[in-house]
Parts: sequence; structure tokens; C-alpha cells
Amino acid sequence: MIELQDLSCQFGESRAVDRINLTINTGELCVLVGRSGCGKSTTLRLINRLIPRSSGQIRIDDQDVEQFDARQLRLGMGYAIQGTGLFPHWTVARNIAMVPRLLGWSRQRIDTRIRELLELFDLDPATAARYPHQLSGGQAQRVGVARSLAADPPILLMDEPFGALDAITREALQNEMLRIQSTLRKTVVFVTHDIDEALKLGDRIAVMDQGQILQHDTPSTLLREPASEFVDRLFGTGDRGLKLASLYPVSTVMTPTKDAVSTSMTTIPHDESVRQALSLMVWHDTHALTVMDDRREPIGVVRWDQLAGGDRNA
Amino acid sequence: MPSSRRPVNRVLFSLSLLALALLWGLDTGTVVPNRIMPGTGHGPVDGIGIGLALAISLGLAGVALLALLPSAPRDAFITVLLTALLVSVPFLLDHFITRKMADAGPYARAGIGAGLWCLLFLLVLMLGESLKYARWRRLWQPLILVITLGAWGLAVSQGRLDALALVREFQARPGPFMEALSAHLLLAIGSVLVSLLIGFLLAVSGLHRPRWRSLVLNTVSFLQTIPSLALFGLLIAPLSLLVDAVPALKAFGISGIGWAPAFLALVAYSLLPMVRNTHVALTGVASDVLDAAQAMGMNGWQRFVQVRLPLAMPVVLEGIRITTIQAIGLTAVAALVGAGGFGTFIFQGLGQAAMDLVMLGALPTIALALIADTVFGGLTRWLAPPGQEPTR
Ligand SMILES: Nc1ncnc2c1ncn2[C@@H]1O[C@H](COP(=O)(O)OP(=O)(O)OP(=O)(O)O)[C@@H](O)[C@H]1O
Ligand SMILES: [Mg+2]
Repeated sequence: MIELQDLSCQFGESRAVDRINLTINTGELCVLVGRSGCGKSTTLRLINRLIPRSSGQIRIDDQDVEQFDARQLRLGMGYAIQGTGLFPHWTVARNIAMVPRLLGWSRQRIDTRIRELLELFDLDPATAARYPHQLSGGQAQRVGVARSLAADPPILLMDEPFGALDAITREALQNEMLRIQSTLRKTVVFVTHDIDEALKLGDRIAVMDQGQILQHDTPSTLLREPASEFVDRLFGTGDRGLKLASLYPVSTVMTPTKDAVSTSMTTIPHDESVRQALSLMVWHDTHALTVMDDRREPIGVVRWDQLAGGDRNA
Repeated sequence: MPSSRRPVNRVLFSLSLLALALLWGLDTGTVVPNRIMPGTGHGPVDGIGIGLALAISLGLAGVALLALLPSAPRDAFITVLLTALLVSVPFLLDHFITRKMADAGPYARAGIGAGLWCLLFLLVLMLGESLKYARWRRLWQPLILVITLGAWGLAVSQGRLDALALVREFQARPGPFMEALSAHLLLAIGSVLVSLLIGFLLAVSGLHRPRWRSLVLNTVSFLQTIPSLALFGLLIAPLSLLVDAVPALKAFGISGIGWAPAFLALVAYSLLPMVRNTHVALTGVASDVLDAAQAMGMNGWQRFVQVRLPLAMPVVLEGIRITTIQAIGLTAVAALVGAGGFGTFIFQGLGQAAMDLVMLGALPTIALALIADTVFGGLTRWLAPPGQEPTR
């Protein structure tokens, strides 16, 4: 658990972070979102003490971070940034091995770990011997995240890790992130200024503006009950309903059936979002879809007048 | 980077035409009755014969034509052709000597004519230009250097160029020549090493102290602005006083003139390129990489040794290369305060109006600089961190 209490950070006259309070539970992915310059990166860098705090407290599992040796603290936290920060003179393997080496792992253990991580991130084992400039942007970013996970730290700090990627690669990496997080359950602080990314990844989202946290809530609460005009505007305009619909799978709104369903109907996988269901209905000019499970067996039906209210069923 | 279609190389085209004009317009060689009397010049047809003169001209014309071709392989052809022309020069001289010196008097000597000097100079210039685009520059350069020096060495060692004034000057003083060589090398290399040590420490110490850094940079820049002759001279008086005050220093060979003031001045001059390049190299390392290193738990020393230094290495080496070439040239001036080195011949020759003696000092100095350039070029490539395209 990470707790920030009345945390402030002053740069000369200006306050980059202004008395924020934030609790991130173990195994939770918390997204910090806000406009450029609102203090997201600063908050992140206060947590691993790259920047000294001006006042307030940071506690990790009830221990003040000041009690740790700064280097030991950082070795226990994965760190991934936009533009990867990979060391250009080291191979992918050596990059991933960085923290394990600093921790004095045996060579064999490091090699095993590198193989595991390459596999986890769907990277060809031959990638290990390549240099960062020989990788595509997506591969480099995968390696960057893999490196942050190398020593299996309980905490991950990520500063716009997918910021420099094209939309398609970015989405693939977001899905990968969700898949990996669902098994590893790290405590993650994830900085982004992309609202859709925040909604997609965050268990809870902290909205920041001018160094302060305006609201810290689940994605659906932020959409349904924005606490201020600023949050209201940040989360949307006309497509707020669509954003909400993308948060829930069709399985939350469908009518389960055991009986055979007409297979002439258009089908949708059960884990697709309600938004996707709506899109399919509009596109195929139909009022109902058959929901299929992982084995492509029909398990239910969803009709257009059921689409609303998925978040209340969840 | 070489691409398949290349624009016309105007520089090579004009330089080769210029070389052609100068070859035909100026003397190829001279015959001098004795050391200080003016000689009689001989043009290409008279000096080396119409056949050889045409062959050389054909080579130059070939370079000019190739420079107009818009295809990539032309650079390799041009480089090979230029090297062949360069290698042919000592044999042209050999030919000139056989034709013209047979019936000259016993004290007569042959001089390299203005046309041939220009040809040599322009060939080296053109090689530099053509190598700029060559794919294997770092391989070509040492190869060409070895072949060229080898051709001259072969011609001299076989006694074919004995009649050449330059060779006569050398044969009159083989001992002093070797002394000059070792003094020159010791002074240049020694001062570069000392300035590397000091410069590196200064650059590193200024890394996180902006005020100290600007003080250091301003001081070494100021040192660079003092004319070299003045700096050599300026050091004589304080050193003499120092040795008078501490006579024990004499035991180390330190005195107001000689190697001590020269060494100090050379170190002072070497500091600017050394400090500035090292500083640029160390601060030029991408900050997000250093930031990541710190964020992931490296301490300051680990960050410096494992990340900053290896990434800065190519630019640091570039600084050492520039400094070394500069020091080799400046060491020639150091002869004025009695430090020895090839400058001795240059100033002696100037005093005696014997241009060949001047050349005996100047040519080896140039050769040393070229060798240093080649060696450091190879070293930079060899030590460059992998995963980065070489800068040159
Ligand atoms: N080292 C520093 N010295 C002085 N001011 C700083 C420093 N780092 C950040 N700031 C200031 O603090 C404020 C917050 O910066 P921060 O980097 O946290 O923003 P951010 O939310 O991460 O923005 P972005 O989305 O553009 O990355 C900015 O006004 C910035 O100028
Ligand atoms: Mg930021």
C-alpha cells in the first residue's frame, strides 16, 4: 500500500505538487491523469525520492520512505518511462538484467528471468541480443516495461510508458498490460494524459490539476458523478456514454439462455464491451446479438434496450 | 551514407582539373648545382618524359570524369586512382633523377618542382574529399597511409632518391633526425597525456558545478588566445627564477629553456580542446537515460562508469584526436625555446635559406599528424559503444 499524506513539492516559487492525499491499495492500478504540467511526473518521482519532498509524508506498507536507503527503495520499485530510457550501449538482455545485477543475482537466475520476461511480453528470444536502436518503438517499449519488472518488484511506477506509440501498438500494449496485471497484481502508479487509456487501465483514477488531486474514484464514478466542472469537462463531451459503455463487458447486460439460440443472429464474444455491442448493432442494423463464450458456444442474448445500466449490474 | 545515386562531386572535379593545369604549367623538378644556389627548372615533358606526363594527366582526367558520374561505386574507383597517383610520385622523382642528374656535377642535387609539390598537395586534399563518402573510410585511410609511406620508404632505402636534396639533408644528419623524432613524439604525446589527465578531472569536476565549470572553460579559452610563440617565451623567465630558487630542479633537466617551458605551454594549449570536448561529451549523454539509471537504483559512481562514460567515449576520443594533432603541430614551434623536435630543422633551414632542410622538418611533422589521425580514427571505431552508428 502506498499512502501520500499532505504531500507537497515546491520548485522555487511554484508548487508542482500541492498537499495531495492519495492511498493506493496493494495490487491496485492507480492512474494519475491531468493536463501537461499538472504535477503527475513530479508526484511519481516523489514516491521513489528522485525529488525531495517539501512537506508531508509518503508511506509504503506503513513505513515512511525516508527510513529507507534511497537506492534500496528504488531497487524495490520498477520504473518505466516514455521513450523507454533504455541504455543504448547495452543489449536488450543486459538492459533487462540491470536491476537483478545490481541486486547481485546469479548469472543463471538472471538468464532464466530474461527468458521468462521475453516470453511474457511476446518478444522473440532472438531480441535478447539486439541493441535498442534495432527495435521498433513497440518492441522497445515492451522491453522498457519488461525491464521494470525484472526483479519482480511489488511496486511499479510508470510515466506515460505508451505515450510515444501509434494508436494500434498502444492498444496492443494496453491489453498486454491488463493481461499481465491480472496475474501479477502489482501495485501500480501509472501516469498518462490520455483519458481513454486512464479509463481502460485504471482500477481507480486520480485526476490532477495545478498540483492538486481533484477527484480520486473508479472510472464509472468519475464519468457518472464528476466532483467538479473541471473533471466533468476532462471526461467528456458527447461521447461520455460511449466511454462508460466501453468499461463493461456484454456479459453484464445480456440475458443468459440455456436454450438454443437462432444462430442466424450476429454474434459477439462475451468479454467484448457494451460499446462494441452497440457498434455491431448499428453496423448490422439489428436489435439483438448472440453472446458467445470462449469456446464459441452461445451463452446468451443481448438486446438493444438492455445496453444501458451495465455499471449498475456489475 | 552512400546511396545509389550521387550528385556530381564539384570539388573533386575542379581540384583534379587544377592539378592538371599546375602539373603542366609549373616545374616538375629542378637541378641545383649546390646547396644554396638557385636551380634550373624542368617542365613535365623535359623532366619525366612525354609518356609519363601523359599517363599522370590521364589519371587526373579520369578522376575528373568519374567525379561527374552519378553512381555510387565511383567513390571506390576515385580513391583507388588517387592512391595510385600518390604512390607514383616517388617513382616520377626516380625517373627525373635518372634523366637529369646523370651528367650533373658531384655537388648537384635534385629538387622537387613546384608542379610536383602542388600535385602532392592536391592529391592529399582530393583523397580527403573522396574518403568523406567512402563506406569503409576507417579501413581505407590506414591502408592508403601505409602504401604511400611504404612507396617513399622503398624508393629512399633503395637509394633511388639519393640525389634528392631532401634526402641529402637527411643523410647529412641521420642521428639528429632520430633525436628530433623522439623529442617530438615525447613532447607531443607526453603533453597530451598530462592534459588528458588534467582536462578529464577538470571536466568531471565541473559536471555538477556550473560556476566552477564556466571559470575553468574561460581560463582554458584564455590560454588558447595567447600566441604560441609568446607563451613559449613567457614561460622562460618564471622557470629560470624557479630553478634559481630551487636548484634541485636542475637535476630533472628543468631550466628556463629546453623541454620544460615547451612542455608546460603545450599542456596549456591542449587543455582547451581536451576540457571542452570531454565536457561536451559527458553532458551530451541523453538525460532520460541517466534519469532511468538513477530511478532504477544505480548510485552516482555506477551511473558515471556504466552509463555516462561509455556513452561519452566517442566524443572524448574525438577530443584526444584533435588535441594530439594540434600538439604535434605546435611542438614544431617549441624548437624556438630549444626543446628539440622537427621544428629544429625548420628554423635552421629558415636561417640558412635552405628550403629542403625546412621540408625535412615539415614533412615528418605532417606525416606524424596524419598517422595520429588514422590511429585515433581506428580507435574511436573500435572503442565506440555498440548499438550506435559511428559518428564519422
Ligand atoms: N526539476 C524541476 N525544477 C523546476 N520545476 C520543475 C521541475 N520539474 C517539474 N517542474 C515544474 O513542475 C510542474 C509539474 O511538472 P510535471 O513534470 O510533474 O508535470 P506533468 O504533469 O508530468 O506534465 P507532462 O504531462 O507534460 O509530463 C511544471 O510546472 C514544471 O515546470
Ligand atoms: Mg510528465
